[in-house]
Amino acid sequence: MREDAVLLLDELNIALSAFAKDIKQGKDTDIVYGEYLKGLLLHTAHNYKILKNKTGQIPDIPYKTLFVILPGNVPMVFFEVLPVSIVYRIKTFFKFPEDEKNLYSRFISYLNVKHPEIGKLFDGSYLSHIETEKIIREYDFLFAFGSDKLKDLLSKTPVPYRFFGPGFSFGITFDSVNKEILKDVLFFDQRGCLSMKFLFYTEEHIVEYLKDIFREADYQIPPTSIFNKDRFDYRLYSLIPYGEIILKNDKNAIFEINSPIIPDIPLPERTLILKRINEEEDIIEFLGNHIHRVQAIATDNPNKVQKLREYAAFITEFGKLQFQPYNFFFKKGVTLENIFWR
Amino acid sequence: MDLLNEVKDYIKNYNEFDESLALKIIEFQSENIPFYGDFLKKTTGKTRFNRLKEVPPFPTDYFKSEKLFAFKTSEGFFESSGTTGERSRVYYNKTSLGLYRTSALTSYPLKNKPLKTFIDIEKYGISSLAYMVKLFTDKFGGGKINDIDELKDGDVLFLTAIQLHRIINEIKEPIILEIDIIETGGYKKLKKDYSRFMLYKEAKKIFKKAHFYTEYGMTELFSQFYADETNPFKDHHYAKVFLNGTGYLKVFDFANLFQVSYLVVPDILRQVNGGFEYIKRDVEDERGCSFTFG
Repeated sequence: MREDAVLLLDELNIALSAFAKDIKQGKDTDIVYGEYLKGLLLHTAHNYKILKNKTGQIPDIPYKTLFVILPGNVPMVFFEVLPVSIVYRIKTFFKFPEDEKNLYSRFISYLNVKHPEIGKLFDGSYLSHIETEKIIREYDFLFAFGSDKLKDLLSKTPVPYRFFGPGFSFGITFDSVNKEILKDVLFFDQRGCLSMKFLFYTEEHIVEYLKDIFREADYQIPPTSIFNKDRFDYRLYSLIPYGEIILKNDKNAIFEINSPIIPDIPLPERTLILKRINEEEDIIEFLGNHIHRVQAIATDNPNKVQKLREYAAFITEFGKLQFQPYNFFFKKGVTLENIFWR
Repeated sequence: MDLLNEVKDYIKNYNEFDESLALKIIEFQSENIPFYGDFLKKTTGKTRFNRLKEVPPFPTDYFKSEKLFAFKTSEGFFESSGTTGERSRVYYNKTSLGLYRTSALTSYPLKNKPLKTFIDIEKYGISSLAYMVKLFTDKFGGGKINDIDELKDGDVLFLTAIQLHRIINEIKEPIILEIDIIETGGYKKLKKDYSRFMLYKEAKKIFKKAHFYTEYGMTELFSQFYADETNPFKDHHYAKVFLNGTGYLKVFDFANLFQVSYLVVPDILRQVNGGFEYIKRDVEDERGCSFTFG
């Protein structure tokens, strides 16, 4: 990596650490997420440190400007794009999600004031779909994060792009889980691709333990302000033919699925879907084609996860699912070195 | 059939929501619609209840996959238009259609005026909207028209929001007829986000002397709701809407005696003085980068 990029990554690390300490609950995000966000930003800052020492040869790219369509409710993505822009020295514009523009614009302003050498690389605002469609044509390259609906927009643009589609993560426990699993499941109401949707288990006692820790979960990790209780109830009750409600609190649930494959209906938010398995192959069969959407796996025994390794970008312990490793660039196989190549 | 007569009498002659009759209906439906009985058992552990608030409303999506009918055999089914995904099927027979007619005629606000329509009422066997409009034309006169020139002072024009939108964009000259216009079917297929008031406003430019209504109904409900230029949608004692602020439509429809009465529909409504307004169908699936399945 070029020396100037290393220096800027160092500076970004300092900026992010300082900004993280300044996160105010209720100002930048929902109350409970303040602490989480702080932890995430410090973790990301730490990742920048590792990254600068581990990265290989950064190739030249023919692009001078980058447009990034950020996903809603997943702040990690914004902070993970920053080092990419710095290392490639590419001027980057972020299209912010509607509800979260405050956090991101504050950080960019902060960079401009305290670290103008980095700050000048970044800009961003909230834009409507129509405005986005118009403006992206002025950019050399496009990163798009979000739902499959985005593909329509991308198919209309002549700009080269890299699309990071929706994904999901899951857990496998062979013996035990700990209460940190609540973070994997409930932070951001399962809206991130690193949120745990399913927990596959082999031992019966896990279910009782989960019921215990989920009982108080609404107090410990309450829903975000955009949580839709009616949608949660509707989708949970639509799952009834496929299994059993193990626990239903006001705003979270545990549901055990009996069917051998995933039902083809939208899954409820803040709901951990349990599935008993005998072996790894049961998971592969259950996920079917969705297996290509897998992002990460949390487990108590990584040694027993063998066949699923080829699908997951990383494997981690319970409670760490949303704290990505330094070399995670949104999708398995994507590295800092190849991120501009589709 | 005692329950049927009780419900018919209740729709026609009462004016307050009767919770004990509602609970009796739930018990009847759980005994006669096995899927619904299982749903109640799996969600609550029982099929008999002392209060309606103990009962979870039943998601209407189940009409897309299950035959939910209290009789062993049916004589046909209404199918939804499928504008928001898969189609719902609601099975019927002569007895259940009798309740449909009782409810539809009770809530219809423009009785005794001839009803002209662009809706294809020949589809009355498969479309609940066509069935309802045909019921009104049979009862109050009128029928299907092919041209706006066929309207006269005093008529009711019943049409979909899309048809109304098309007409007001095609016709250049104002129409000075004293008519009532009822639009229905929602604005999803129109190019921009519409509220009923926006559509009224645009339509007023052409239909200068018309009074506008909106009908809010769906295949899964045998009862309908009406709003007009000055009044929001109002529920009925026999189709009671449970809403606190803004949220999904939760309704107990007594006319659904032979299907399922206590339903939740993913339509977002807002409570307003004296009634409610329809906001939109909740189709928000993916926000963030999470894959939501389905």
